[in-house]
Order: sequence, then structure tokens, then C-alpha cells
Amino acid sequence: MLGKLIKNQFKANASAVYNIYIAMGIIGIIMLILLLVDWTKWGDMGVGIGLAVKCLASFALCLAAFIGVISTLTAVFGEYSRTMFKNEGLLTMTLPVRSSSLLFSKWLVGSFWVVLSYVVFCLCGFGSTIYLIRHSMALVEGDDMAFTMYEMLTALVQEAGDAFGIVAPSVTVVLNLASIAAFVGGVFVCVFVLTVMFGITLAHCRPFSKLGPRLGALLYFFGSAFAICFISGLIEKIIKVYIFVSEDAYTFVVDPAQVSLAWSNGYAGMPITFVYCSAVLAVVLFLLTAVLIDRKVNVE
Amino acid sequence: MNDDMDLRTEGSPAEDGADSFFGSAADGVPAAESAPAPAEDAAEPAVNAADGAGQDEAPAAEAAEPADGPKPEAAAEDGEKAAAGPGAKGQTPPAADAAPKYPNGPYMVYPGYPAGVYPYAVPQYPGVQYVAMPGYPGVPYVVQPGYAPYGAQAPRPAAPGVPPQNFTQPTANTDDDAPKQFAFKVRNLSKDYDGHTVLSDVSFDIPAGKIVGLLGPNGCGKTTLIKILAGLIHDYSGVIKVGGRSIGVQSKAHLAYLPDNTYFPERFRTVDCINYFADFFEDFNRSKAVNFASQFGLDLNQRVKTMSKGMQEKLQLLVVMSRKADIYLLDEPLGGVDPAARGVIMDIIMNNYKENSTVVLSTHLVNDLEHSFDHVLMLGRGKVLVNTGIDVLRSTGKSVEDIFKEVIGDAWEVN
Repeated sequence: MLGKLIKNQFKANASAVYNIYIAMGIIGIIMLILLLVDWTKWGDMGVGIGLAVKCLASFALCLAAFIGVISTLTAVFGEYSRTMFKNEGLLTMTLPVRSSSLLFSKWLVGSFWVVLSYVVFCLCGFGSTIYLIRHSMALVEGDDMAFTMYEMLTALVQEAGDAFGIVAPSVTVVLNLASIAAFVGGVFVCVFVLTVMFGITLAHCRPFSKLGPRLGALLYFFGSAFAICFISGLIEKIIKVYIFVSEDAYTFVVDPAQVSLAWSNGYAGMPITFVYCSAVLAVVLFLLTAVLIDRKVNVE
Repeated sequence: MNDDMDLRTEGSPAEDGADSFFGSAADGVPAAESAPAPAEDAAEPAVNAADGAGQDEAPAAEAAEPADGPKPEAAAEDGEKAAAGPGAKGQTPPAADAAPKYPNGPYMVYPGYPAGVYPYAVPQYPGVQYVAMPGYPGVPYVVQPGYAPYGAQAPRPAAPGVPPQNFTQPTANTDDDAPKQFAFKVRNLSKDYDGHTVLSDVSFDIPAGKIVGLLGPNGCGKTTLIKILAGLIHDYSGVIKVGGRSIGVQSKAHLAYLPDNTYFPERFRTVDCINYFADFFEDFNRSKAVNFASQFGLDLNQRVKTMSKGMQEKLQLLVVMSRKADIYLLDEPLGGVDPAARGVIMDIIMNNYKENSTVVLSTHLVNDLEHSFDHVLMLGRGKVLVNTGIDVLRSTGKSVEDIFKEVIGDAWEVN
């Protein structure tokens, strides 16, 4: 049943956001076509117009990506509210499935779409920047764009590292660290999605429903998010755990000196307590939400 | 007291301003809000005072009775009296002065009436649910379908030391309590919305395999009750068993629910709705649903948002009736349907529910549907006003609609 729930949930969310991704795809194709056009045929004015059009296209892409994030959030949480507590809840809540399965499917698929929208937004921003730089560097024949960018970035990191006594890590370490950072970002998005779902659910339970579904959901979301941050921060102050990233391994360490030493030797490290505590608290929040759905929620 | 006597106007004075005789015995609803008894009835309490005294003593007598119960002759005699008396199906309620005495007890004073005032001593047999008869004070109880008619078997005395079954507080159900005999067992169900009580300490049983009419005025709690039974409302108090199971995944798997408003997402096409049900309900018959859609003239690729309200209702009905569920909960299936289509929809319901399943139909259109009911449950003022088989109601010589009007009219007056 969980598989079927996830499948249907995926379809439900996809139907709400696919338009924006189609729009982004169309804009991307237009930008590629614009790259192929030889604007110099029309002289300086042509080059200027080409640059303006490319800027507009890049802006449109970034805007579409931003709208994609907003519409994904709206779709995920709107769909959650509608299918759990409104008319569509009459169907959802009479399905022969556990409330925890129902919640899990909505949380998992919702988190996927939100993460995807963030990733797409970041890629669009990064891609548009590259796109515009590529245009301005078009006159530099034979330059490898990506290599140039990488050189610029590493130079920047090198300068910053020198200022703080940090040895620039190797590409492998940077990629390893990036994968850890991506994982941490994903965890935070999942915690965020779950916290909002908890807020919406609590806003539909008596006596918490007195604030109304929207204001209540907003307040309960901020309240629970604050509680998660506060508790996680408190625990982080007491128990400090870091992840040490080398070229071929991830190691957990508890001594901050080891992390400083790592950065001085071309390795990397980052604190992990906060994200770990947040994830644990999110699990508690998940169970609490499932219990609320099971015992307190009424479908209008 | 005669057949048409109504305690609401002619009965014994209520001791506490209780509303009506129609309160369900199972609910322990205090009875009648009534005018002072007429002069000719004033003699009755005196006559019945002896009964009342007998009632008070009955439990003790019961406890002292031998464990093997009353003699068969006595039981048969009781049975004959009862068959001719108020509990017998198809029998006209007797006059008050023909009220039989039951020497073997145990006797219970009818709730809301002080001892000696109520004209009957009501015998209480374990395992039998007693329900008030609307409008007929001579019929203080009826035998529930699924149980032997009153008098058909010898009353079973309680074991010494065991108190007689509480008339007003039915025993809480358990899983092993004849799960297949009742579609629903509801005990002490209460539900309020921000202090406004919708259902107040309601207890009743709905026998399995019946077509049940759930009737009541607007706001009486029909939809709330259906939603609770369907597992859509959770913050209530009381104990509920659906097909012998607590409300949960298992009960939902065997229950088909049709709400009184649309519940499919607008983006769904007809075929999506069918696929959705096929995904989640093992008892769903896809080909039957497709045939229904064809009969209804629904395009499989038409989206819900482009359908009229009537088409959406048809769509919901077709997917619900394409299931082979044990219980169908249909909330106002004819609510927004034109009179011409009602017959078609009722035909679809009547011809397609699973054999031996229970169909609960909530409706205001009593006249259109009363011929379909096997059993009637009327709600009002947060209580069960009537819970009885259709035969018993028909034996009164009145239509269900007439009884509905009497009962609900009283509820409205009180409100």
C-alpha cells in the first residue's frame, strides 16, 4: 500500500508543478538557440541586442525557477491540507491505510519535490551566471569556460584560505564535502517539510484549531521550528560531534582541534550534532503528527 | 391507554422535564416532556403502583430464583402474553389495562418515570436490546432483528448475585461479542462541536445484512455519525465497533463510504478515479465500474472539474457501488439529484450492493426510500429516537414518513 500511496502522491504533486518545469525547459531551449545565433552579423548593435535578450532569458529562467520553488511549496502543503482535512480528505482518510503510511508518503514525496525545486533553482542561477559570462567571454577564443571558472573559484578559495590559515582542499575532498553538505541540506528540507505538515495538522486539531487553519499553521510551524532549533542548539553546545572529511573517508570526531587541524592540512570537517538532533526531533514530530491524524483530526 | 395514545400529550407526568417517550432505551433517554396526565389517566399510576412495587422487588426475587430458571409452562405463558403484547412483531400494541404481569422479572422501571407511575413493568432479558417505540406508549420495547422474538424462548434468569443487565448503560462491546451479528455497535457515543452537542451518549446496534434508513432533521448528527463510523472524525467519546472491529485500517477496508459532497480531485479523469479505487480497495471491480460509467454516459477521459455536480455524484456512486464491501455508508445519495434520476440511482444501489452486506442510507426523502428500508434509525436532539425494524413500524399501520414526522416534529418542537 505504501508504494501505491507514494505513486499516487507523486502524481498529485507532479500535476501541480509540471507546468513550471515545462516553462523552464522552454526558456532553456530558447537560451540555447540564442547561443547559436551569430549576433556579430548585425554589428555592435546586434551584439548589444543579443546580450540584452540573453540577459532577459537568463532572468526569466531564474524567475521561473524561483516561481517553481514557491509553487512547489504551495502545491505540496496545499495538497497536504486539501487531501487530509478538506473535501478530498473524505477520500484519503477512508483509504484502508495507516495514518503513518499516509503521512510518510506525503512527507517523502513532498520533500522530494521541494528538494528538486531548490536544486533546479540553484542550477538555474548557476547556469544563468555561466551563460552570461560565456557570452561576455565569447570573444576570448579557445577558452575552456568551466576550467576558467574553476580557476577563478580556486584562486578565491586560496586567498580566503591564506587569510585564515587554511590549506585549500583537493577536488576530491571538496566533492566529498559537497556531498555531505547536500545530504545535510536534504535533511533540513525534510525537517522543514515535516515541521510545516505538523503545523498544518495541529491547526486542524481542537483546541488548537481556534486560531484558524492558516494563521494557526503558520504559528505552530514557527513554534515547532523554533523548538527544534533551540533543542538542537542546546544539545550541540553540550555534545559536539564533527564529521571529518578526507579524500577517501568520513570520520566522526568529537575534538574541535582535530577539525581545525584538518582544515590546516587540506582536509575538511563540519559540525554534525545540530543536523543529527534535528533529524531525531523530526522523527518525534512525525510520530506525533501521525498520532494527531489518528486520534484528533476531523475531516471537514 | 390505546394504540394511538401518545405519552407526549397524555402520558404520565415527567419527573424531570424529560423530553419524550421516544428516547431510545439503549440510550437511556429520559422520557416524555408531557402535559399533566388527563383525569382519566390519573387512575393509572395508582393501578400501576403495584407493578412499580413489584419492579423494585424483582431483582431480589430474580436473584433468589433457581438457576435453572422459571418453569417452561411459566415461560410459555409469558411468551404467549408477550406475543400478544407489546414486543411482538406485527402485533398491535395492547391497551394499558391489558398489560401483562411478569412474575419472574427482573423488571426495570422505564427511564424517566418514577416507580409506580409507568404503566408497565418492563422485563429485561439478557442479550435483548430494548428500544422505545415512537408514538406508542403501549410498546415500550421491541425485539431487535437478529434476536428471537420476545416470548419465543424462556427468559434466562441471571445467576445469583449477578445484577440484571443495566437498561440504560449497555455493556461495552468487545471484539469477541458476536462480531458478525451487528454491522455497528455503538456505545455511549458523544460528540460536540465547540460545546454544541451533536450526539449525546448515544448507544445502539445496527444488525448486519440490512438496509438501514438513517433519518433525522437537519443538524441532528446524521453526517457526523456517518463520518465517525467511516473513520473521518476522531475526537469523540464512546466505543464503536464496525463489523466487530474497532475503527481502523481493517474496518475501512470493508466499508464503502459515499459522502454528501464531492471528494475526487479536480484533476482526476473518470479513469483515474477508477484506477485510484482499484489501487486501494481489493474488493473493487474495475470492469463493473467501467460498465457503470458507460451506462451513466461518463467519458472515461473527462476530468472531474469539467463535470457537473450531478455527474460527479454519479461518478462517486459508481465507484462506491463497484465495491463488494461488507458495509455501505451512503450519506444523502439522493441529495442533489433530480426526482427523475432518483429511481435510477436507487436501482443502482439496490441491485449492486453485495449480498448480505449492510447498507446505511442517510436521507430526508423518507417517502421515496421507505420501501427500501429493512431497518430504521432516527436521530434527533443528539439521541437515537427510533431504532427498529421496518416491520415493527409498519405494524403500527402508519408509514415510516408519518412516524418520521411525528418523531422529528417532536424533536423540532423541543429544539
